[in-house]
Amino acid sequence: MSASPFIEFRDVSVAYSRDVTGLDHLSLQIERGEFTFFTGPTGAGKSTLLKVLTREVHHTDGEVRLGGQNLNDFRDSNVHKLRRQMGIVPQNYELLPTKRVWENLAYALRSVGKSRKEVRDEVPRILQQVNIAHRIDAYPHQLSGGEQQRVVIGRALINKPPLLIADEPTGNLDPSQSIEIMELLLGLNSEGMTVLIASHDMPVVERFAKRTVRLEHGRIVAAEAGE
Amino acid sequence: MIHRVSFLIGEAAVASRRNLTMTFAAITTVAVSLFLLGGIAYLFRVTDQATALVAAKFEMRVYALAGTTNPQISEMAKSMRALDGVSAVFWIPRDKAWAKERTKYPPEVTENVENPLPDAFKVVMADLQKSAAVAGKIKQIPHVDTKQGVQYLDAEERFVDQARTLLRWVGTGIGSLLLLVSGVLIYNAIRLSVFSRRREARIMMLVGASRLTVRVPYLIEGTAQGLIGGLGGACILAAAHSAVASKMVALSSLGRPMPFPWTEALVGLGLVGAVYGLVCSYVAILLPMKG
Repeated sequence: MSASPFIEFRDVSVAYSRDVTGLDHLSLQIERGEFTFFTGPTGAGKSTLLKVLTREVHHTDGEVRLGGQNLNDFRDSNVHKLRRQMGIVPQNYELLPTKRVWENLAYALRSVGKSRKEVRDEVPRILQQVNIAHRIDAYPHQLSGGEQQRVVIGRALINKPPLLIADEPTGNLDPSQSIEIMELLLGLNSEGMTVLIASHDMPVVERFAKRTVRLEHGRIVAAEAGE
Repeated sequence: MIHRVSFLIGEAAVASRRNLTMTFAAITTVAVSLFLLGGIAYLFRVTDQATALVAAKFEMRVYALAGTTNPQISEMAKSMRALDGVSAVFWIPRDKAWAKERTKYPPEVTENVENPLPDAFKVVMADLQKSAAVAGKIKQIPHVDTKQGVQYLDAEERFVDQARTLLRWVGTGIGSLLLLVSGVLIYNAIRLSVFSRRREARIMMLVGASRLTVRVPYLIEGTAQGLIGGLGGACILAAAHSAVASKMVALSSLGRPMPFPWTEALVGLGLVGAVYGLVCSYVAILLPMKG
């Protein structure tokens, strides 16, 4: 008997309206510890697929499972329990511009119920983990794009999740910064974290040669296993 | 638990500071509207008490028919004392009344004049609102002059009653309108807070903050606005009471005004304001915070 996959999409559809489809009968399995790119043109369904996992979008048909749990079992009032099982790196950084780097992390930690003492212990550790501890007192506007992305990834790690979901994490970065961020994500993956990335940055995707799933019109049109 | 509460209160404070003008407008409008509504309730209470106090000062005069005998007078007094709303009944013999009346004029004016006054009663009311009913029943007592035999301040009582009705309608109307306006202002203040803090809310949702953690700061903000407005309304009411009371002492013969009920005003208006603020803020976040 084989163990069930970590993430499973079974014939999943997302219909935004009668004419607009996000996902179209998509089926996919992702094992624990995998690093997967989702590629495709704008509107292919990459972000929708990730948002179905984070429950920012509700699938209209099919079944989605994470760690054996059916996402439909999470009521709206309990979605936060699902989101604590994953780290989310949004397409826009979503950093608080008036707060310093450590305050941005502290804010996220406080909002999930951590005490001031826990915040004092956790913030340096996380910033160390994403190699941005030297900019702890900087404001977001004083950071480069790559540094801001490190803070965002650090914020996604506050719950020590087994899964990291990143939507276009290199979208606003120059090539060297993109590679730095990808290496950081690979490092997290090497520690056992499952990493899902939506990206249209093909040079980066090709350079790192990981499992790649290509989407078009909400369907999987090609899939390549990584090295 | 304490660190959680302090975080939520801190978030509410940040939200309030970002929309200071709207927050100020909401609080002051709640204060004025609750001052009006609280003031009306207070005025009703004061006038009720004052009416009871002045009832004793309102007298009703009842005149007997000419030729009524002493036993009949006694029977009339007994019947009147038995009426509901009557505090006391005093007989004024026609001879005594005439003797007193004559002192007001030079002796030569009344020297050969026959006593024109009938036997009368002074009826002291316990409840002014029952004056009309008591007067009607007295007119049915035998030997009472039914044409002009019962005299009391009917017009004055009616005026007080009409004034209270007018006060009730106008005050409740204006107060309710202002309360509605303050509700809209609280609603708008919270909607602005939701808008200005959408990035914080998004971050909270991304990192797995509970729905309650995301929403409660807005509810605290609205409740605080209502509470502060209610307490402000109580303070304005106290100031108005103080100003009116000093005038009453100077002008009125009704005695000292009642002391301002600080505890009732603060607790009552504060509570009403807080609940109102909570409801308005809850309605305000329902749509933008859905999901």
